[in-house]
Amino acid sequence: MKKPLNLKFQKTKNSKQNFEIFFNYLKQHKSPYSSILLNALKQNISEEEFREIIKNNVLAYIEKKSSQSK
Amino acid sequence: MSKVYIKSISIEGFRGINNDNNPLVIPFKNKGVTSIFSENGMGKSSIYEALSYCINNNLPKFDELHREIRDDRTKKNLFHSNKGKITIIFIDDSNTETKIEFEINDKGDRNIISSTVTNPQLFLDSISGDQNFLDYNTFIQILLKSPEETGKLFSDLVGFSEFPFIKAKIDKITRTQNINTDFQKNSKEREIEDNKQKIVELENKISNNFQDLGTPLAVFNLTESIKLVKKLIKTEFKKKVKDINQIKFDQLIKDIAGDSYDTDVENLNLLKTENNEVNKFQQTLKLIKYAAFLKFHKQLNKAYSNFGSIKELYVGELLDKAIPIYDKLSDFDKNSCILCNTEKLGTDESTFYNLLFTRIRKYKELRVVLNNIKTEFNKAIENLKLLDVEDYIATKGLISAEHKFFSKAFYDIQDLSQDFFLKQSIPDIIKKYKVLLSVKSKKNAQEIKILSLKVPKELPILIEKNIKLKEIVDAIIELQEKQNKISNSKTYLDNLDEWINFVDEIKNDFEKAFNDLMSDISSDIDKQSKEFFFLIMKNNDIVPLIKKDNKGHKINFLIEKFYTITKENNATPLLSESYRNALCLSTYFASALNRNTKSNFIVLDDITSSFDSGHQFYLLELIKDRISKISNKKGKQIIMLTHDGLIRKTLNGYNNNNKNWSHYNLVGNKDEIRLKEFTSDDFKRIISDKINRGDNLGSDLRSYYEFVILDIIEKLDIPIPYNLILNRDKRLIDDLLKALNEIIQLRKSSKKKSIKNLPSTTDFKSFVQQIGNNLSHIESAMCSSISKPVLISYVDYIDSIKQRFQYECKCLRNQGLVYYKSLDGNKRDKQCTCKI
Repeated sequence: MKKPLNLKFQKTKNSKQNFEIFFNYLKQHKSPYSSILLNALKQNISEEEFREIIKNNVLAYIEKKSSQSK
Repeated sequence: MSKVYIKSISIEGFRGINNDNNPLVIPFKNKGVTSIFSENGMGKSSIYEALSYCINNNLPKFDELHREIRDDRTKKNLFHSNKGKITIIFIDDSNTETKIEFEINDKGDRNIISSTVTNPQLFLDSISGDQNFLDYNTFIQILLKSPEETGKLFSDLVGFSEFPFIKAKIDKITRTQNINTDFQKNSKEREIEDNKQKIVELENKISNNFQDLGTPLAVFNLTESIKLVKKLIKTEFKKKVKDINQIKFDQLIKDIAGDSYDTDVENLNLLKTENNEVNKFQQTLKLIKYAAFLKFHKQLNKAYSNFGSIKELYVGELLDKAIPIYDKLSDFDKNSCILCNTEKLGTDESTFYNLLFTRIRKYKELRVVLNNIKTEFNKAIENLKLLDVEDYIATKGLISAEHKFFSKAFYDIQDLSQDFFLKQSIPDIIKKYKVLLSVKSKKNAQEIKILSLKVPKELPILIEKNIKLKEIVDAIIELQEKQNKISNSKTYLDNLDEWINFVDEIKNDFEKAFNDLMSDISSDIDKQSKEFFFLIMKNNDIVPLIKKDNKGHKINFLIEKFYTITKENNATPLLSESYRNALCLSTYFASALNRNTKSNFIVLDDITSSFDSGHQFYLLELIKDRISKISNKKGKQIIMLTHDGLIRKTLNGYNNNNKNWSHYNLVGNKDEIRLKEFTSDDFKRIISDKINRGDNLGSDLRSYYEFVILDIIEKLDIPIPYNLILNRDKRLIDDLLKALNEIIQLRKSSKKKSIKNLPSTTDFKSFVQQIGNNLSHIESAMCSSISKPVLISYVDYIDSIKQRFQYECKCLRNQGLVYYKSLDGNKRDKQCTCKI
């Protein structure tokens, strides 16, 4: 069974350091989706732009995965 | 992480600071507190705004203005001829300095024009944040927010302002409605259902067609269906099929009936249809009886027999048109010919007109008969559908259109002439038509025979089977496509579910981690703010509680103890304004100390004015001892701006007694503003100006009185503690005078060397009496009853108290009245040679 990953922010660390903790946690998922989410989160963009990027990248990945499985 | 502080700022041409070519330069204590006092309109807020505009790129007080009344051009000082210029020098823990120069153009834009770092904006981004700036309007809002907004505010205050944005972004992409819109989840699910429905229809069609072909399926099965199609094609068309997608159904038929089978079948059908038509017309012609038409002939001949010749008929016709003319003529004229004017054409028995009329009556009778014959004749044509027969023969080119006899008789012939039937010979025409139809029928029969030989009898059945099989194969192909689509949609939805599950897990983990973090931090802030709140208000009977909801990010401001009430109540409605403000500031300071950001400064504007002098003092002590770096290594650099006259003296005291506290006063006018130590002479000048202008003095005179006495205590280093003033706002002067009196009398009685002119106890009583209750009258706006000279005399009297502790210095070093160094009467400046 997959061991659940633990995410814990630390109050002694600043926001940048805690973001690093979050990003490392995302990387540990070793899922193509985690890199999609990670790359989008690292961009300084609005919520709508973020949603658009996620939509496009997830759709592209799903299509690619579907075409490979045929 | 090395922390960043503000070392200095230089301002010219920005907001209220003109200082053309001579900027206002303010050095800041990076390891302590820098306080700046100015009266209203002396550029205090401009300093706050300059720091905010350059570091955060915003002007809170300015940006809040409605766009219709905001004028960005006023960001630059309107009296300044050149572009505004602000230079800030930052310094970090390792004493590395970063200098950034900004320019403010006429539109009010702020542009970085030079820097000692490669990417100054990146540097500013790393230290910027609204939480580094606090003014009165901002902090009083802290307790007015909803618990949800307070939760967000806490994230900002402790330097995690980006986390709620991350949360909002993740929320956005996990919202069901957005997933449905972005990834068409619902429509994919509907598509699967639609395709399933379509598959059922296709299965039925396939089953029905097999039934029609006489090979029914027990239960629908796609593989069996394909096998059966192959089998049927083999048995019916003698062809072996590997892949049903490759079957060429047309070719199957062509292989049996030849390439032109489809044209042949079509022609054969056409000919058969045509022959049916020919037979129908032949039957029609058979129904015609010649006698019916001969009857018309006889009737016609009889009608014409009343006329001698055809000419007579024409004359009759002509005269028929003359009758209306004769009717209008006289009897005489009725015997004349209207064409040739020959007169007397009548007989004795009858006029010419009557003769003509008789003739015309015969003609009219003929017309009636002819019309009857025509009506009956047309009826016969219609009944026998002879026009259809003619049309068909003409369409097939057997006669030309203009030779259509019955059609001509029916439509064109208005009057049947005497020899019409004789000339046309109806029986001949009918006979001719019969012959033509017969020829056509024979020809068709011959062609049908030829084509029938070419197209085998069983071909139509094979074609029918071919069509059914083709429908089955088309349905199978469509069914397979639908199955593929369902499969693709399912794969898509599986992958999408994988994404949804993934991002849901991230969302839950992020929320939990952030929730835990904020719980920890809010617990710390609660503990610290409780302590700070007590240090400001010194009241154990009111204890605040900052409580975070277990779930979510809501944070509530509560009161856990309110005198005897220990039930948790909402703080905002329960607390008075000063207590609310104390809680806001306590929370802000506790948050600031818990903030672990690169920037390690806070800029405070006008945070003390809502407190009385005692609580102002406690607040300043809190800042000095706990919040700033003066006594707390983890404290912040504090830049504090105030216009509050009550704390000015205290701030001056901090400035003198603590190397990590700098205090400046701002003085100047619209052209230039400078830093200056604020003396009692400055205060006296301001008060005097107000009196001369007739302004309401308010508490200014009391403040001046306090200032002078505190100035004496401070300058001569008289050991009277500041906490003497606590909680006795209006009694400050009395208390100070009493304390001063005690110390001076003790000094005198000690017989130590003292200032010669020290006031006696009687003097102190006199001080009190002279000003005494008048201060209260002046403060309660009753000064209008006190004349200007009297008020000026009060000021001079206060000034005279100060002079008891001063000596006149005439040397070039000082010039004017200066304070003694201490009560022992020593000169302040050792090198001063003046005799006292």
